[in-house]
Amino acid sequence: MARMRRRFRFRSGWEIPLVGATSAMALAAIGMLFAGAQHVGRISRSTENNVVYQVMATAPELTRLQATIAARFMPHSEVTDEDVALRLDIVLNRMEVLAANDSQELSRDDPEASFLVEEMRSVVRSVTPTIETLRTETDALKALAALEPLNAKAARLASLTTSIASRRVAEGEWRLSWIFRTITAQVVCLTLSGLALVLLLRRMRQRARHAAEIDPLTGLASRGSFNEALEGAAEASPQLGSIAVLMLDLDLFKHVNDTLGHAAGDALLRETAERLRPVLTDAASLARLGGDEFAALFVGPGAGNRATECARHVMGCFDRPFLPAGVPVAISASIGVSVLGADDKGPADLLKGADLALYAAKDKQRGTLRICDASLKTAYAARRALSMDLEHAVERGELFLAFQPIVSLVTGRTESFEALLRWRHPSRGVVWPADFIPIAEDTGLILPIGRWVIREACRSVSDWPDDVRIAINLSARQFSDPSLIASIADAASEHGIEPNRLTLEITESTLIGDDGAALATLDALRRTGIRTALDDFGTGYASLSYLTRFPFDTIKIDRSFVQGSCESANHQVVVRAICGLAADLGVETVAEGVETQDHAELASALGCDFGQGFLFDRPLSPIDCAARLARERLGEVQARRGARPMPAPDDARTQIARPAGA
Amino acid sequence: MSFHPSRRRALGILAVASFLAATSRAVAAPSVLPRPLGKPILRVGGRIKVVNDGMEAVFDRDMLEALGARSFATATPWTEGVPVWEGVPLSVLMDHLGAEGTTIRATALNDYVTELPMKELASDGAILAMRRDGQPMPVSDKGPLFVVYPFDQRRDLKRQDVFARCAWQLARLDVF
Repeated sequence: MARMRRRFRFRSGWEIPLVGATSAMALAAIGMLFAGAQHVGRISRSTENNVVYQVMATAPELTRLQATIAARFMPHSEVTDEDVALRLDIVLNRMEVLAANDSQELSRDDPEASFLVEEMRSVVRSVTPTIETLRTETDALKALAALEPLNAKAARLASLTTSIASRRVAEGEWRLSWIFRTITAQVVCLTLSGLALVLLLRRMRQRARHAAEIDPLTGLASRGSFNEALEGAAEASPQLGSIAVLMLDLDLFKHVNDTLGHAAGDALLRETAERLRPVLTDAASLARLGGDEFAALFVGPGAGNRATECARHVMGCFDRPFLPAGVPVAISASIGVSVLGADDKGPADLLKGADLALYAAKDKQRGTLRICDASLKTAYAARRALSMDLEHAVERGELFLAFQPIVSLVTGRTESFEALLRWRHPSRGVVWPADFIPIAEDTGLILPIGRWVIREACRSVSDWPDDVRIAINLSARQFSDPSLIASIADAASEHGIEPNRLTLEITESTLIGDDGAALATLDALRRTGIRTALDDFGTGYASLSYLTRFPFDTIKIDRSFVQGSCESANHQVVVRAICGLAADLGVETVAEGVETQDHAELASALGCDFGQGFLFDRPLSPIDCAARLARERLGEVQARRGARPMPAPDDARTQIARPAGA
Repeated sequence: MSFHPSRRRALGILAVASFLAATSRAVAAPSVLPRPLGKPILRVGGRIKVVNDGMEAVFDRDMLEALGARSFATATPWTEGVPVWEGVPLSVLMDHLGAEGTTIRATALNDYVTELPMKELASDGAILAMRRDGQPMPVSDKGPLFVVYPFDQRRDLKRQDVFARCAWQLARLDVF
C-alpha cells in the first residue's frame, strides 16, 4: 500500500510539469507563428522595391531633361518650349517624390542619402527659372552646366539606395530565418514532450492493467485475468479433457475473520497463497477469485489427472496449522475439480462445474476433494428446474397441505394436526418437502410459501371444532422475518381463530446464532398467544440449555428415540428423562414416529403426553380430517350414552403397565 | 469597253476602303465619342468599343470630369498627410469605353509602365485622381492623372504589387 502511494506520488510529480511545459511550448510556438506571419505581412506591405525604383528613375529623367535642353536650339530641332517644360515638370515631380521617400525611408538608414537628395533639390530649384525662360543657346549652356553635377549625385544616390535596400532585405531574411529556426526548435521540443506524454500514458496503462490482473493482497492472478486465461485456453485447445479447473475454498474462513480480525484473515489468505504457489507450479494460472476462494487452471493433455494430482498436494498444504496474528489456527480446504466435458458449452460451464463440486465437497465433508461428474450436474440442473417451477407454485395453486393428527396418549383424542406442505408438480406429481424446502430456503421463496402455509393453516383450522389446534413448521428464514408475527396475526384474525390454536414448530438449528433475537421473537409470539414447539428434539445438539433459555410450550421428541426405546434401555432412560424434565418445566411432550401399538404404550409409560405417527393416521386430506374428527366425536357421544365404550384410552392405560420389550 | 487608268485606280481604292470598313465593323463596332475640345490628357487604346480617334479614345480634362468623380481620403507612401483624392473610377471609365480584357497597361509621361488587373477593378475602388484636396494636380506634382487606391479603407491593398500599380503622370491606358 505504502509502495503504491509512493509510486503514485512519483507519477503525478512528473505529470504536471510535463503537461505545463508542453502547453507553454505550444503557446510559444503559436506566438512565434503569429510573429512570423506579421513579419511576412510587413515585408509585403513595405514600399522598399518602390523606393528603389523611384531613386533609379532619377538619373534617366535628369538625362532626358538635359538632352531636351541641349536639343532645343540645335538647327532643325523639333523640340519646343513645351517639351522642355514637360521634362522639367517630371524632374520637379521626381524631386518631390525623393523628398517624400527621403523623409519616410532613406534618412532612417543613411544620412548621406538625405544629404544628396537635399543638394539635388536645391540645384533643381535654383536652375528652374533659367530653364523656364530659355531664350538663347547661352541660357541653355548655363542650365546644362548647372545640371551636370546632378548626374553623379543621382548615380551615387542610386547605388546608396540599392545597398541600403539589400541590407534591409538581408536583415529581413535573417529575421525570417531566425523565426523559422525558433519555430523548428519549438516543434522539435513539442514532439519530444508529446512523445514523453505518450510514453507516460503507456506506462500508466500498463500499470493499470497490471493492477487489474494481479490480486493486490496475495500477488496471485485476479479473477479477471483468470477468466481471460480460461477463455484463451478454451479457444486454443477446445479438445475434451484438455482443460481442468481446480477450485479451492477455505473452510470456516469467516470464523477466523470474525474471531481474530480482518488483518488475521488477510494474513491467512497471504499464507495460503504462499503455500499454494509451490505445489501448483504445473497450473497455467493460479488466482484468488475473491474472498477465500482460489482457483487453478490446467491446460493440455491429461489436465484432469494433473489437476486431481495437484489437488492432493494442495490438501497436504493444510496439514500444518497456520499462524495468522501469531495464533496457530488449523484450517482445512474443500476442493472441487472440473474437467472440460462434452456437455460443457464454454469456460463458464467449467467454472460452474468446479463450483458445484466444491460445494458438494463442502456439503458432504469439509476438507475433501470432489470431482465434478454428470450426476452432480444433473442434480444441479434438476434443482434449477425445480426452483424455477417453484417460483410459480403458489400462484398456480400447486401447493396443498396434508394434516397428521397429534393424539393424546391418555384419552386417545385428536388434540391437533400438524400441517405438512405438499407440492403437486404438474409433471412430476407430488414432490416431498425434503426435495423442495431446501431450494425454497436457498432462493428465499420460503417467505411467500411460508405465508401461504400460515394462511392456509388458519383457513383449515377454522373449519374444525374449537378445541382442535394446528401446528405449522417454521424455517429459520421465516423465524427471522420481521413481518412474521404480523402476518400470522393477520391470517388468524382473517379466519376468526384464536391465536392459541396455532403452534409454531421450530428446530434447534433455527435457534443457533443470535440468542437475543430468537428469544425476543419467541417472547413476542407467546405474548400474542401463539404456542411454540421445539421440533425433532434429540437429533441435533439436544442442548438442554435451550429448554431452560427458551420458553416453549411443547417438546417434540424425535422419532429415533421413540422407535429406539423399544430395543434399547438407554433410549428409554433418555426419553424418560426428557419427559420428566419437560413435566417439571411445565412443558408438554409429543412422541414422534409412533407406528405401532408398542411405540404408543412405551411412550405413554415413559411420560409422553401426546403421540404422532402412522399408528394414528398418515397425513390426511381436509375431508379425511373432518371425517376423523366426526368419527371421534360420535364415539364420545355414544360412550356418554353408555353404548359401546371407546376401547383406545382405557386399553392404552392397561397396556402401558406392561414393561417394554417384554 | 475600257476604263481610264485613274478611274480604275479610284474604283480599286473604293473597294479596299469598303472592305476595310466592313472588316473593322466585323471585328468591333466602335461607337463614336465626341472629340476633345481642350488639351488631351489621356489616350486609351486596345480592346475598347467606344473610340474617337482612329481605334483609340482621347480625353481632355472636361470629358473625364463629365464621367463622374468619386473621392476618398487616404495616405500613400509617396505623399504627406492624408489628402482627399478625387477622380473618375477606373471601372467607370472602362465601362464607358466598353473595354473587354483582363489587364490594363498604364503608361506615364516619364514612361513608367505598370499593369492593373481588370478583375476587381470596381471592388478595389481605384480612381484616376485629377484633384488632390480639391486642387488640380500639375505634372510637377504627380498630375495630371494619378492612379490611387483607397488604401486606408482597404488595408489588404497595402501591398507592394498594389503600390506598383499607382502610376502618376498617367498619359495612356491600353486594354488587353
